[in-house]
Amino acid sequence: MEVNNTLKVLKKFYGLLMEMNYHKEPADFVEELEEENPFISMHLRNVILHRTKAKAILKKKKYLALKEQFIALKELGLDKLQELFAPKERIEMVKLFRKFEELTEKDIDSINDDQDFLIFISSLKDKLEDKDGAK
Amino acid sequence: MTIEDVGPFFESNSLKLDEISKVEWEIALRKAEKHLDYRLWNKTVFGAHTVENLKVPAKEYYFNYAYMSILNGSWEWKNDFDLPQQLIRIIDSRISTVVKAYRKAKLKNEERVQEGKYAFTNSIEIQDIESTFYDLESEEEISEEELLKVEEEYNRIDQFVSESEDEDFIMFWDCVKEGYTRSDIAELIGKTPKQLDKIKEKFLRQLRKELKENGSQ
Repeated sequence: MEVNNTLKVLKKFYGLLMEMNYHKEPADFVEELEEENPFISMHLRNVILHRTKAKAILKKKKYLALKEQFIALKELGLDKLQELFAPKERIEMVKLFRKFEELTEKDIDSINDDQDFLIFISSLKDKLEDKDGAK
Repeated sequence: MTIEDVGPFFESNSLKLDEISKVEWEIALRKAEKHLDYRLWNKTVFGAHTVENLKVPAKEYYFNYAYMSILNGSWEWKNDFDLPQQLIRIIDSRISTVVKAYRKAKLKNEERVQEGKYAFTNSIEIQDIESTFYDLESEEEISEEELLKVEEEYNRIDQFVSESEDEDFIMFWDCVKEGYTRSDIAELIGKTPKQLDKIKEKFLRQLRKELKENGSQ
């Protein structure tokens, strides 16, 4: 067979293998997963390592965003924030407002795991956004 | 990867990645590796995909680029694709970016293309990727030496098929020679595409075994 033709056939062959590989279902990998593959093992370790790093970065980003929100709300002042709620709601939230007033930027770490307070901060932010949006 | 250098899709990709198990990652990586092996076949000796141009072996370069782009959020993981498909699309897109940059640089008679010069794209155009699998165009001229290697490889496969006396293998290889696609071949030999995939797996497994026994690659 002519050389250029063999090249063409092999290119088509690898094209076909590419197409078949693209359609290969996860269930068809069961056998292959048993075979050792140092290239994959090395990169899989790298993936896991970077996933761990990514999770830590996400946590840090969440914390920084919370801190930023908290500082912005503090600057706005307690009186203005309380005005966002109806008197009845304000009474229900009195403890949370007190906590908000007492907290400083340095205490942010301790509120990171306080779900009730995090929801409160985010509701303050939502109310503010609603109010601004209604203007 | 640091907090300063994560990309715009870091959060949204991370949410999707939370659902991916270690086994799913391994399958995705294995699938992407195969794709790269086939895509780069006969393309790493000259031109854009050489170590000289990329600084690292092409397989390592594109593979690492694909999964790191998803992990650090510089590429968006689109809802339309699963993880293996997304990795494959990033690989193909990057290959095409590198090839374009290489050609451009070559035209300008530049000595070498620096990695940083490649345009950084954050999104993938949704295209019919399967139509690109059979693209015969080659990035580079092929040398006489390479052509001889290709011919040898072809002859080894051809010989393996005739010696195997396996009806399925003979028909499969005949169809490959005709340049048929997966669905064409399946229809021609009266099998489903899934059954054809099984024949291909058996074909490759036995071919590898045969080549190993004969001391070839």
